[in-house]
Amino acid sequence: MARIMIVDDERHIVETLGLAFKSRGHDTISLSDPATVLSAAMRERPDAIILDLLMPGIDGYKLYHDLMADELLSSTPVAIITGHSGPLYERISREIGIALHLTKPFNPLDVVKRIEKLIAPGPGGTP
Amino acid sequence: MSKIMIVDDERHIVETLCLAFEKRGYQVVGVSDATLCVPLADREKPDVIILDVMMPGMDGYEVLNRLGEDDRVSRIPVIVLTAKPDEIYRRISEGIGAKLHLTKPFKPYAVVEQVERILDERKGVPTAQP
Repeated sequence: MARIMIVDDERHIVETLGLAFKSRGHDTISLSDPATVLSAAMRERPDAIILDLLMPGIDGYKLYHDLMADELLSSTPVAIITGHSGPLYERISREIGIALHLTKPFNPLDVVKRIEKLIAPGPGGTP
Repeated sequence: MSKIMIVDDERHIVETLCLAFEKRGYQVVGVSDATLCVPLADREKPDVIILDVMMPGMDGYEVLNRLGEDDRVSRIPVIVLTAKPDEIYRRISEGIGAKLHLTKPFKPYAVVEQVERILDERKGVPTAQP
């Protein structure tokens, strides 16, 4: 079982993903206010973090940068989830080292499986 | 004389930079609609493009990406000029092909000097090391 932090200002996205992760036996930490992410991540030390890209006040890339600047969080896999389709933002995510780039709309269970692979990439699958 | 294209939806930014470049003898093309940047760059063939990031309709990263993918304009150096000050945005700009990443607020003649440095580099003129 892993602890997944889900950050999106759209509450239904957080809820949908939360349900999907819980159905696979994972714990989730749900946040809709991006300003609270860094302190919550430092406190909770999740196994993976899913960040929405476009949120009011601070975007997912800046949050990723701030998270990676923390020594204890710098190896935490981070996924970006965005409504931007097309290859540009996927390229940007790759350029700056984001582990997984996901686009909306998404299949929640597919997201769970891809996060599970990130956390336990070796043979055997889920943590 | 070199031609500079300035792309920003904030008219006062375009006007301020136009004034500074024109005073130094440059030709300037001001563009406030980001969606026009690629076709205008193809028509005007500027020597350098100065590009804002946060614009309605099409953001600067999308414009930068389209410029890079279009053989007619892909060799034009692009300077990103943005109000986003954090290092991550510099990495993004340079990662998708910007020659330089500058932040607002800015000194207009400092921008002119950066453009001159890029133009000198392209002409093979040695530039002073920082």
